[in-house]
Amino acid sequence: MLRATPEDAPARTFGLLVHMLVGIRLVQLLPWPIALAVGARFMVADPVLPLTSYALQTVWSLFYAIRALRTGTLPDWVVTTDVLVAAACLVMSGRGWAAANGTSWGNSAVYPAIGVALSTAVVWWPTRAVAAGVSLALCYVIGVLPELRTGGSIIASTAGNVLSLVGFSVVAGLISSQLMRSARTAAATTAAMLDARERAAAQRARYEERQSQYRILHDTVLSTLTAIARGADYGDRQLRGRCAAEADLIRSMISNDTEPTTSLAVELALVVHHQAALGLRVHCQTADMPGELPPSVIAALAGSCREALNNVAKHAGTDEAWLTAHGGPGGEITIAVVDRGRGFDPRSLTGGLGLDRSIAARMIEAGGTSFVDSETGQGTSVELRWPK
Amino acid sequence: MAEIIRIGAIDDDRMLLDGLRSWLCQLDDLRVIHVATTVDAFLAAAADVQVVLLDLNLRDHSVPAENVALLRAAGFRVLMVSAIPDPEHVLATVEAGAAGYITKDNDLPTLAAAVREVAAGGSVLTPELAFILSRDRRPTRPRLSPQEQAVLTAYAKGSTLQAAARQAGVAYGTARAYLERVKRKYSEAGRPTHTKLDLANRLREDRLELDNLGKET
Repeated sequence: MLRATPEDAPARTFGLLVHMLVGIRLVQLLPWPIALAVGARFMVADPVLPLTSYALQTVWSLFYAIRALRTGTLPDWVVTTDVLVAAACLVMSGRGWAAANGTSWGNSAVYPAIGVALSTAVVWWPTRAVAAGVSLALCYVIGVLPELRTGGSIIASTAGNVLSLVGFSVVAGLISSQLMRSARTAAATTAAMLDARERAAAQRARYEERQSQYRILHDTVLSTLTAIARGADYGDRQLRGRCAAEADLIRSMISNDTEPTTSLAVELALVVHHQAALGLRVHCQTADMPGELPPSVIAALAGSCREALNNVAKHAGTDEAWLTAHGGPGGEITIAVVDRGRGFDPRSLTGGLGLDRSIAARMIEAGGTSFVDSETGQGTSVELRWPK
Repeated sequence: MAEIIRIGAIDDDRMLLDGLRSWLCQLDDLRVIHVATTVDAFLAAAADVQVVLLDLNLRDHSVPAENVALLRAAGFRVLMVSAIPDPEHVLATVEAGAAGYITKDNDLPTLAAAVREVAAGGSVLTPELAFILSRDRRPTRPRLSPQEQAVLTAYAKGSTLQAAARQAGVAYGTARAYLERVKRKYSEAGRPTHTKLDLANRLREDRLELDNLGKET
């Protein structure tokens, strides 16, 4: 299952904004060469200044675009350089044009400068972004200052460009900061929800664990103690057997220093305890038990053991069985349920078919395997292994 | 009718000792002669017994392997008995010369068979002891051949010797010989000859065992 992490939403929104800025920037480099290509002619005072400006702006913008697309970030040094390049180009480009041309769309530095103002608005909003927008506007004015003296329509188009440089950045800043804020709110809400859900699940697991332990103790130790207290008239042997089974159970539930108690150990102890109450003596031994197993695996192993022991009680003609379990270095586990009863002929189809089917299905479903080994008169051995 | 086997028992639980006495009473050839709650108390009485049933973890916090060594030095054969399988101490007692290890949850016929085997000078490899030996991960463990390990592992699961032999792919007699060899490797691992005195004791022990064998055959 794919689970979105809460941190994703702001990162995704910012990534989207970066892509948008890169797109705008690349588009803003196009008008000037297109105008030249279709034959527009501008009056140039000094061709070196506009060409240098355009070349510088193009090289830097390409670097900016590639870097932003690759990393998805806009660090301070990139934005600062961006502003400085745009400012320098505005001054150079403005001074390069002949009178009345520097304020028109022919000034190749103006459009990219608007893109720069937009990116400062996204990254630096509000104070530094507005300051950058105003500085760019100032540099533009400084660039076209000689032309302003001609007055009239020049002043109007200059005012339009100044307004664009400052105004666009303010509008972009307001919108992008709003977007980022809602993304962060969404992320925080998601995180809080996930957290609450995990806490609730942990609490429920603890509660269920405690309830199941109470239930186990109630059904076993408590009922035995109550029976003794009321002067139970069991035979000495039977009472002892029952006490021994309870002792084994409690021992397996309390962690001791030699082996960490796993819930598999508890489950196996319960299975053995159940059989002991039904009259089957199960010699149970474990070694190197794995620390943790998936609940479905524990359920499959315990269920298969119960099934195998039921089979011993029903078919083996003996009241004694062995259950041994040992773990391996990689967290794997092997369990054997063995009896010394009558066994069956593995070549006869009826023998262990039911046994094989019910246990094999459980183990395969949990990602493990099972083997049944028997021979007439030699008992039966059921071995469970997980993983396969 | 076989000769009566004289048994001693050391357990810190008086009730268990009494229970054991009345339990073994049911059998004609086994008799509990002397019981004690500590090894020192048992040795002080200098009872004439052949087999001592020794509880693994006594309440006086004596070291199980030392208890075995003391009893062996006094000439007794020792069969370990315990409620909780404690692998570390079980291994140590077997290396100290205990003839076998049996858990308290076994029935009377199993216990009686083990006592008879030990009294006859043999050793008892119960499935529970086989399990502990088969899971022995100590670097100092005696080296077992792959076939010995295979038979031991199959037998440790509780299989009959017949089934264990079949699972390991060897003949019944071979499997039996392997298990005996495993047991012998363990008891030999615990008898390093450090000094001349030890060596003399070892010779005396071996001769004793040979003498006993001679008596029985």
